[in-house]
Amino acid sequence: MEVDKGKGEAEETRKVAEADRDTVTLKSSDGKLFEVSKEAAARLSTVLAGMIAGGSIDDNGTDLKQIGSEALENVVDYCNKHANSIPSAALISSSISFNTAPFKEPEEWERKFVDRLSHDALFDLVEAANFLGMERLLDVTCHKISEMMKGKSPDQIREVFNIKNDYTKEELEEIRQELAWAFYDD
Amino acid sequence: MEGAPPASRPGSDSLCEEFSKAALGSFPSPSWSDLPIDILISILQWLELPQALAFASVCTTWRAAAIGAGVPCSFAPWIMSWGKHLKETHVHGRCSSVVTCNLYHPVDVKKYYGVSFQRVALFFAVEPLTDG
Repeated sequence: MEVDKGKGEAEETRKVAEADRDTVTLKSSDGKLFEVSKEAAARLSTVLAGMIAGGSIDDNGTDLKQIGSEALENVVDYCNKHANSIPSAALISSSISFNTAPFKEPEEWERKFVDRLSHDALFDLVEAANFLGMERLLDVTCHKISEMMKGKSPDQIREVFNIKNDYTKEELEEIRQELAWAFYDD
Repeated sequence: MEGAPPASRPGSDSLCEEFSKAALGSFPSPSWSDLPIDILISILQWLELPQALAFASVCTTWRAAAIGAGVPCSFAPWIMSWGKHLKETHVHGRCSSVVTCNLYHPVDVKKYYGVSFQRVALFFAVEPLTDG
């Protein structure tokens, strides 16, 4: 137990120390801790940027209850790789307007980064990127997912992603007619 | 009586079980059909029209996302223009050029989808502008 005397002072020192640190500690849903550069976190994630600016970063590990350790490790890994290998400004510019400005294709290292992931890991990472407001990582993961669909029919896509077909027979027939020009020869 | 565990609240307990069964479904791993709609829309922006239509046909949630993203899922008319770029691609050692048409939504012209055609053969190219 801490004595009251000097507590305020300790608190003050802790706060100063926290402000001086150039990393932030993130805690996954299963309690694992990860360090990430404060600069990269703030630049790549709007949510973390907001937390850093708002002072809601916990020195002992900021709780990210929605993100498991594997996904968080990938997020941190991505931030570190990004900080090391990218001339910054180039990638921040991607705008969100739908299909008006083509998105910048993933860089070679970003492709490799997502290519090594299992389906489940990719799924968790895309959700984590979305949750943390990491626009670029979301683009990169979504690009990877779109690549997995290319050249495939709806049936093949369902198979790849293990998705149940929840259409009725009638709806399916309607869709089949709509898509006949693109996918079916008859 | 008071210290005993709440033996029978039959309704809520079995309901809970039902719910968790329903939530887990038959897929123990995360279900791609339940991705949040904004993620699905982010995926759609990387797809050309034929692939976006295939996406829309996968399941009802994906269709809802596609409609939200402006993918023309019905026989609605769209405006077509030639895309600016002609691209050379090398597939399996053969060189072919591909031209892209853009299909614009008649109401919201900011939304458009690309469709790639092989320039020489004029075959409909489901495979979009990638180098393999």
